[in-house]
Amino acid sequence: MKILELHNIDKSFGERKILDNISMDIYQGDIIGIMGRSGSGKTTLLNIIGLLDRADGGEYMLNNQRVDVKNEKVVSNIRRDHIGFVIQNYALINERNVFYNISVPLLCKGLDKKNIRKQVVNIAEKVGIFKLLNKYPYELSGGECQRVSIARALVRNPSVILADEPTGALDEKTEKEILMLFKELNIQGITILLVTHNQEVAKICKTLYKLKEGKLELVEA
Amino acid sequence: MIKEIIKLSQLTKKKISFYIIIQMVITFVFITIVLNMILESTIKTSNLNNAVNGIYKISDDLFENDERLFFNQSDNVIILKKFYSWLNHQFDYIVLNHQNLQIEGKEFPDMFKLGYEYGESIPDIYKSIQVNDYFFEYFSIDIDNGRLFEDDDYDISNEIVPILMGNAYKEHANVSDKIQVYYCGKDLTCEIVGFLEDGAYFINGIDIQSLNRYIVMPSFESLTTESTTDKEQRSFELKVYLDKCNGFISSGEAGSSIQNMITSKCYELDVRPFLVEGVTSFYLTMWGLEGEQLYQLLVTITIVMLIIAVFCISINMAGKILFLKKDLSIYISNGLRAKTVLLALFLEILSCNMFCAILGSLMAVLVYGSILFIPLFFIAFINSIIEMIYPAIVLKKINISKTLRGNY
Repeated sequence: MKILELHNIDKSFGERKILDNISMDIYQGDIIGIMGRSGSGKTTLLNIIGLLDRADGGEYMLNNQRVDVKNEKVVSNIRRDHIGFVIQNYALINERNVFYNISVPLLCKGLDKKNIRKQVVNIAEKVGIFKLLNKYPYELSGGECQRVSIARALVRNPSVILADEPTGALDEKTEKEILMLFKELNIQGITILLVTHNQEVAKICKTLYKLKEGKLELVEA
Repeated sequence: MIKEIIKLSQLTKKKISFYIIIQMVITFVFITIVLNMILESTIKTSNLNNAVNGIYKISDDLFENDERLFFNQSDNVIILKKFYSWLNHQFDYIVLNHQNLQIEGKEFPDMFKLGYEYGESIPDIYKSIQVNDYFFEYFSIDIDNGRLFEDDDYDISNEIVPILMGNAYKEHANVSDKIQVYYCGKDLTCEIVGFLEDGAYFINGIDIQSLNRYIVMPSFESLTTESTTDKEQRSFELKVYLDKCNGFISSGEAGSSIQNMITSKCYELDVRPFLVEGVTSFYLTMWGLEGEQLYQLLVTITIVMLIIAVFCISINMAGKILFLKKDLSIYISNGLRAKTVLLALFLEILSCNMFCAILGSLMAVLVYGSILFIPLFFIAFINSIIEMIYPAIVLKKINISKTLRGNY
């Protein structure tokens, strides 16, 4: 089932065209990699897909709904309910414990405490961080932080997980563990879009694109 | 979620929050003081302006032979009583007579004595005025403790005469104390019934006089319109009523029109017409200008203080947003609306402002005895809106993606 469609997406910063007529379809259960050099526009594309930025032109459909023309309130709700972010430096709130960090999207949705607890515990068990729930981010290793970040992305059961250089800050061993986790999640049916310049990360992808001079090229399917 | 944002904001930058609260408390305390001063000075200036505008002095025109003839006239007291009665009914009439008192058997400090301000105190003679009811109303005079005069207090046949003392007497006498005085050729026993509020004043026809060092006596009134047969009492009543008829009229009418009315009444009563003079307001005008300048200065200081406080608080809150921008970006990327973040920060600022406004109001109640909740809450609300403008711009400019990736 097609969950995400990009049609002729354009994006420029000033005179510079970053994304030029990008089209892409993502299906349920896909694990897709987008590679490219620094400044090639990978993150910009991810921001547009994650609704953190808007394209200058083109169409963006999520779950058969055009989302690029919606107002800020609807966009915030879509981001909360359908998109999960995993970022290189984890983006965790250091002053709050792991439990709270995972529960942020549920808090934003206004769920009650009992429901939040149930969902957070479930997802923490799933990504192997149940014992870390009361710890603070500064007490965790890089790999553990990234697992927390993945748990947070997964907790509201999103349509797609967008991962921007998810292993960029990890050592080789931890990188393998995180990639294994992504693979396991994908086997369970979770759709993942990875942006990376790391060949190891690219290896776990079923479909691989390369972004070069604003154009998206299919490398491997 | 709003609660979570406020909690996070308060957890993260405790020092800044503390400084914001301290700064706002100081600002509101200052605003309260200035507001009270402005209100107080506005009320006093307005009272003073009311007192200055449309006030006329009534004076008899009895000199030498005329005076002698009038004093020998058998019905002079009756004429004066009728004239006073007419003045009192026809106009807003103020009896304000300067008849100083000689006090016997008790000594007060020199500052209360006649001539003290000019360097020569006259022994045993104390500054005093005799007034009617309307005097208190006209000059908005209230008491500090005790009571003001009641209707019966003006009765000329009272054996014990109630008196009011200026505020400065408070340290030297008490309510219910009795004093022996000599007034218009008569020994009187007076009882203190109250002390006037600090700063009470009156206009004596030329300038403003503080009542702090004055003794205020009721201007006596006789219940009968007839004249007494007792020679001594008759002479006393004559003096009293002549003084009463040399009072002040508060009226919006022109002086000439008042003069015409008085002249015709005097002809009717067969007495030499009393004269109407406009009260000079030279000193009052000078005082009014200074008051106006003081008012302008206070308003300027308040506005400057307010602008500085709003600016500082706004900058502080913007700094807080920049400090929290990573956490706020995390919330926003996880579905929180930027408007909700703004609302949370606005509520934080508003609650701080309101808290400080309450403190300011409580201070006003304790120090000034007046409640300023509504104006202070209004200022707090407007402040909060203005203070949020710059932080809102800062929040809007945050690049969430860059912030999340650590490229601040």
